[in-house]
Amino acid sequence: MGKTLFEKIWDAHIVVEKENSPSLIYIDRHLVHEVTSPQAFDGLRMNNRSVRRPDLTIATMDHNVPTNNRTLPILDQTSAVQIQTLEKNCKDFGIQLFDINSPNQGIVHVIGPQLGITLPGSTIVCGDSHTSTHGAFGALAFGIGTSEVEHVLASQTLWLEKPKPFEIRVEGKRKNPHAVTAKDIILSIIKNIGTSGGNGTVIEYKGEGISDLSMEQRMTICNMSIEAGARAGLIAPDEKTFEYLRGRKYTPKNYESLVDYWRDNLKTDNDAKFEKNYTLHVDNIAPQVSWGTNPGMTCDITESVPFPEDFSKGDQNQKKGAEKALEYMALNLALQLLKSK
Amino acid sequence: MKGNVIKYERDNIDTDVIIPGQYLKVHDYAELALHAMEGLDPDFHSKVKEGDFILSGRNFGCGSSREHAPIALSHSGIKAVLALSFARIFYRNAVDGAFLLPIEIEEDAYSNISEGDELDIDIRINEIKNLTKNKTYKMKPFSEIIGQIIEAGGLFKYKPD
Repeated sequence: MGKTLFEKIWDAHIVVEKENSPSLIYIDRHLVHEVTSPQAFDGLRMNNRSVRRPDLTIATMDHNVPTNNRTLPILDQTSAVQIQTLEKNCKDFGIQLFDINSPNQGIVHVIGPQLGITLPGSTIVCGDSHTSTHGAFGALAFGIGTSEVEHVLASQTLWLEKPKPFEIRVEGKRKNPHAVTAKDIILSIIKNIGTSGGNGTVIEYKGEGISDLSMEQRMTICNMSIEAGARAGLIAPDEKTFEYLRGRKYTPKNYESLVDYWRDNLKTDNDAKFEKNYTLHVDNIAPQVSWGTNPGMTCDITESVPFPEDFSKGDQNQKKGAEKALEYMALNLALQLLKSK
Repeated sequence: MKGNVIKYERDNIDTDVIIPGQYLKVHDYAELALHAMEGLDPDFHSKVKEGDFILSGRNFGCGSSREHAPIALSHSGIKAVLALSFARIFYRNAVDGAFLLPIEIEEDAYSNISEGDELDIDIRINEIKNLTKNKTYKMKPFSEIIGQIIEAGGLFKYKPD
């Protein structure tokens, strides 16, 4: 039987495999930022450990960075301390840092692709749930917690439970691509499969509605795989992917031969089996508007906000969640008015 | 392991509710604990007791990967979270740092256990006893390596054979 793209990348990175247990997976790139790393570096120090592969570890500060006046001292003391701590940790452990004044500094999930650090077929981790963004390039990218950050720093590997492959097909053409964006596509998917719909899976997005998208739009889709409850999202690389990464600052020198390999190998086989499938037709979707407090609580801008009773077919928690959200959004009174009409 | 239940009858309790984003710069765990669950239940800190359990629905701990979430709960005294399902990163954070036990339960336990019930959880036999209601439920067993990490007392004390 054939393999899915996810299974191919996973299998290529297994260091230790055991039945019914997590596998030890090799990590190709580790991105580090200031919020989820201080305790991890403290842990290394306490145990006298070094960073196993500083050359595969890249750090930047992004969460606590002022958006203007970077030449001035940072007023928020706790933010300033986190930034200084990352500077010291990178110096002590020999890790390349794109600091607050570096032209390469930026949102950690964005600079990976922009600098050509994110490569198809690789495994990427970062102490940030939205690491799934890199999946747009056909990389298997996971968000991890601080203990796992420490584990990757020390060993360049992670114990991971093998997720199940989930195929989401996005079919058709958007009628108005200026109004209906990648964000509307992923929000429509989450509205339908729910915020836990992807639990335990890696989603592969396929179909015309995906290949039509730019790399930035694909990043939006993969980014929000987390809001669908998935561990990661993936899109098989194509000519758009290869073109985007060509000639970037850290794009490997043997890039064209890598592209030849990726083109032939980084795709799901025709006879591969997915655990789960879902298809979204984009022809008729409208921009999504939130009526609630989680990313699954949206409706088409042309629809009306749902009544809690609309969820009574599902489980009780869904109905209760809708009631609470509508109350929080102060839409419950408006709905009562509609009802009394 | 005995304790009382604080029940949140809802799905998708995310890490930003467990420890809101503005506290991620706080390094002091005791101070983090003061703000645990603040995004959902501002009274949590005053009602939680050492050894308590949280009971909730599906996808507990979804959202941001912040390890501050299990840390804040653990330093509030929470020894285990019982939920219908967990988001992966919260689950592994809880286990890896030996902060608390993420215990997957079935519908029967979820609907039957009420706020304040006293439970006795035995992870060796995957059993949850409700001492208040005199009932017993099964918990979903931990996978082999997860069980070994828990037994070792966290990821860094775990040595594979």
